[in-house]
Amino acid sequence: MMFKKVTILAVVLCMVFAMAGCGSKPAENSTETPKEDTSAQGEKPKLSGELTVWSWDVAAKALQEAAVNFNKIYPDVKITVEDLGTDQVYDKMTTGLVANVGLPDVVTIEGERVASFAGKFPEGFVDLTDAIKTDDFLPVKISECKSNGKLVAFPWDAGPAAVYYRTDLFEKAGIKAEDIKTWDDFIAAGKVMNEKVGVKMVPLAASRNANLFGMILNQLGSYFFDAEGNTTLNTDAAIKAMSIIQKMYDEGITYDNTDWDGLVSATQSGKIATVPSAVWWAGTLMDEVPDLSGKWAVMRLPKVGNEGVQAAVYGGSNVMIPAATQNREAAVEFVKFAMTDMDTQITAFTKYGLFPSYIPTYDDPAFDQEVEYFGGQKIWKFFAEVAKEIPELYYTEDFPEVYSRVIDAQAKVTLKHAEVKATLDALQKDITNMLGK
Amino acid sequence: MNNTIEKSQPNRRRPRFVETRWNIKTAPYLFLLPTIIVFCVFMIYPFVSSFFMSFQELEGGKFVYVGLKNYIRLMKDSIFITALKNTTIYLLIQVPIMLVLALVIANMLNQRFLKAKGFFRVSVFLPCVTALVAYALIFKLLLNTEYGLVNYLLTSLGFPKVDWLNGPISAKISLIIALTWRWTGYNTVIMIAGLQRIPEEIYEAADIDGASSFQKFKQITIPLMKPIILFCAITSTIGTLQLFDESYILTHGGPDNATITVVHYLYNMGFRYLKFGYAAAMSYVLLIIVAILSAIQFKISGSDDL
Amino acid sequence: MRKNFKPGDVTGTRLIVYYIVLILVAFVSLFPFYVMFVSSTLSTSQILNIPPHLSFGNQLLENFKNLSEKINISRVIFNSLFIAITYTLLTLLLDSMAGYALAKYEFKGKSIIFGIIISTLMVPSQVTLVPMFIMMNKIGWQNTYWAIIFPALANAFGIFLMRQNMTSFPTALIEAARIDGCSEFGIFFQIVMPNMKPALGALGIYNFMSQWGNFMWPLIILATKDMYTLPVALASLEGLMYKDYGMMMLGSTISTIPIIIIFLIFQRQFVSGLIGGSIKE
Repeated sequence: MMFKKVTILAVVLCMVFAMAGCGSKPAENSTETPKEDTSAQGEKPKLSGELTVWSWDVAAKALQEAAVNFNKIYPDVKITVEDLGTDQVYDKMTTGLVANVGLPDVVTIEGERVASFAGKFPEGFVDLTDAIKTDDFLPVKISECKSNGKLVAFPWDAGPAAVYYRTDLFEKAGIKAEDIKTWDDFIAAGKVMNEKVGVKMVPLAASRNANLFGMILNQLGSYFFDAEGNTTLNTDAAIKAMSIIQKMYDEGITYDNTDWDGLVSATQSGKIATVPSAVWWAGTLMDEVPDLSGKWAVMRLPKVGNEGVQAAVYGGSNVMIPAATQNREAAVEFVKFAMTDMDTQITAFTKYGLFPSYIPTYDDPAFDQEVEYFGGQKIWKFFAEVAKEIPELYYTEDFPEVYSRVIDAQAKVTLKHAEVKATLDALQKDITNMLGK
Repeated sequence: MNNTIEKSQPNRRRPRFVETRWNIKTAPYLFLLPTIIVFCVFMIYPFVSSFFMSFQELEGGKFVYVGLKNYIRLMKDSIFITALKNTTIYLLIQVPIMLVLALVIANMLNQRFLKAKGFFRVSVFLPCVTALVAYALIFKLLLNTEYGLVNYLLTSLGFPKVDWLNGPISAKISLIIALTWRWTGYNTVIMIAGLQRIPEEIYEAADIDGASSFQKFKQITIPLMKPIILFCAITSTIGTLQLFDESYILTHGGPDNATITVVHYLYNMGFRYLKFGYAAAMSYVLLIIVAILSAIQFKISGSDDL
Repeated sequence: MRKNFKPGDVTGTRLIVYYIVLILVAFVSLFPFYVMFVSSTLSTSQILNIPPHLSFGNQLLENFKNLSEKINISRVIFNSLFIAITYTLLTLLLDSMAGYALAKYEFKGKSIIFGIIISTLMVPSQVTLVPMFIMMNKIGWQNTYWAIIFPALANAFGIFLMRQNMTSFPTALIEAARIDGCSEFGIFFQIVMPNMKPALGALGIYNFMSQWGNFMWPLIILATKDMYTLPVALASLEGLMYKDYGMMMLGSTISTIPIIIIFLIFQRQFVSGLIGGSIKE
């Protein structure tokens, strides 16, 4: 009978998914939890096994090339590079670390995030202290990679910062770059730029990011935390840096770019005269704004009054090895190779714009090039000089949360015209209450 | 209504349908069995385990018991309270606007003599299926303060520019506009499905009585659509209370947390700041709030509808 | 088949007003899609240009080339389709069965079961991610289609919708069928389900769409590129400092087209549901 058939069908269907549930369990299970330790532990020189690498865009491409070079020496190591996108790497790392499964063997992590992951998961990453010759790397990168006195990440690309400026607009406004010695000079020049050319001096995503604040703070040898991990957000340096931001905003020389895309489009359409940013911005300019070739140059960050240095860091990434890796030796060897092999590093730099933090590379002729886009300026050499002067700075595991509070504070002093010292005092109090230090 | 559905009158049942009686008793459980299994394994178990997590916090890579610390901190967390306020504002303003729009559009689309219905339905529905990348970029371009199309239109009409994504109030408005754009059509489609189930004879009878179309809308459509409207209201309420995408991609929760939603803050806590215990505690507080609100909605609309 | 004109049907000027309003609504709804389609034929610098380009460009092939270099388009589409279709079919069956049981039977524990199901609507998915991830790894389901399909079967929304629709199905018809000797499952499949087409259509679209756009969970549970669904693959296109918007817009366009097609198909289902006789008490 028809009804019976339908009944049977329904029951069978129910059982099918019940069975599909149970049936695939054991089968998949055996392929998962792989205890098949293929890396023979005895013989050191012969590395083999598989490595999974999580990364994003250019970094992933560069690591892919590093893998090819690495395989010339160690042909038995099979390396798979997954290009996931930045946020996706973090989301997957987070769940993976909490569950302690499903982690890669090698992963790229932005500088400011290293301490956050390593602080929350002190046992989560391989200690690389013995693998890194600290003198060969920029001090600022070494300080980034440190957590609880151990080096938990291998330093990779650095983000020495400077001011990119439009030479044509400066000329039009009658501003001379060499006259801009301090941030006050910079703001004064911005007002001239406003009056004479009608172009905003500097992009500032007041409610979105606090990169410029961070850079100025870094110039003063300070940052959100001190070496002991204490919050230092209402220090003189912090107040000075935030006051500069407020003054820029109040003087009307800022362009609110809201985010990255806004910055690119404002730059393309010539709405801003300078971009204080890191070395990698040069790559963006050359790729995204080819029309303005020859109209850009770089200068040192202005000083804060007569204090601090004219160098700071903005961005850059490092490479970490999750402790859950089944193939630690090969992972360490691969990372060490990728980060210190001259050819690999120079390729990553010239082809993908990843500015090395491995100091020996700076002697390579690639750094001595005159860059046509910047009117023949030797910007790579310039940035290599900047890089060596960047003061050390310290991140903690709470950096992401504190950073978002700093952005809130910046929005208060700019958009809502709050008083700087009071705002930062309140911020400091809030955060010390929350973190206990 | 429920009570009237099942008038199981045992005396009317004849002995030869014994197996039917057996069926009536077990059938609902069999119908529900797969659902119950799925819910227990994939919903209740993970949720209960996150309940335990709400009394723990990640320290040194392991979850340690911290008692009520997370809940206590939550009560004092000014950003959480701001996020709750923001979410409430979206709920009170956006949901009613959207539902009224959806009902009006659905009613228009349900007219018999309207041509190209399919085209209109599809176009109205499409916004809720946009890929997030495209949605984010397009709205940011449209709402750009200096050069966005919206401000271009405003200035050409003689109005001042609005800082759409950065003003504490205008950013909220932008979010409401984006939300309404994205979800009105979706509710419209559900309402069309509801409207189509209203028997035409009722309208015909009203026509014979000479009712105007507004009267028909008010006296027939709305009362008969009540369960569907309630359904849309509850799902929209829950959707709003779990709002994440818009705050995350359009405004990043800013400026100064003026647009951040509870779930966005919760996500930040868990996935950005790695405070999973705190995030779990937040979700339980949110759950209680949603439950209270839903109960109120049921009460207001009359409990016999469900 | 057009029925004859009846008094009170909207015609004439009023209909014209309706058209104007609806065209406006359609324009507002579709404009961003137009921008998306146009953008998939432009280069990134053209897209970010101010004022924006609103006419089609010639970068389509270039964008396609870049996109297919980064992701295996056909594989990704297959994954998304397989997951979304399997899920939609399974969940329609489960939700209707559950909705029917909750609407048309009186049994012990009914209100508790319904209450629990409904309250899960309020659980933000972000909360269950971590425990679910741990569980999936324990049972060895990570990086499988099932890991994405099964958790989503706990679909309170669908059960609620089906229950709402089943409630208004005439109980008398069910009773009559019972007296005729129909089994309970028979009644469900032969009598109730055929009348549920509009609701199933609406729910089918919803389920397909929500699974099609499902992002966070697949991202976390899928480990290898060959398993990626469209949203996960699209997100992986986004770089840290550089975004190829032309390519991303093309990817978005590709991911949107199947949804449009599916909706067009279910459209007819709505209409046939209407003509096939609305349910009358």
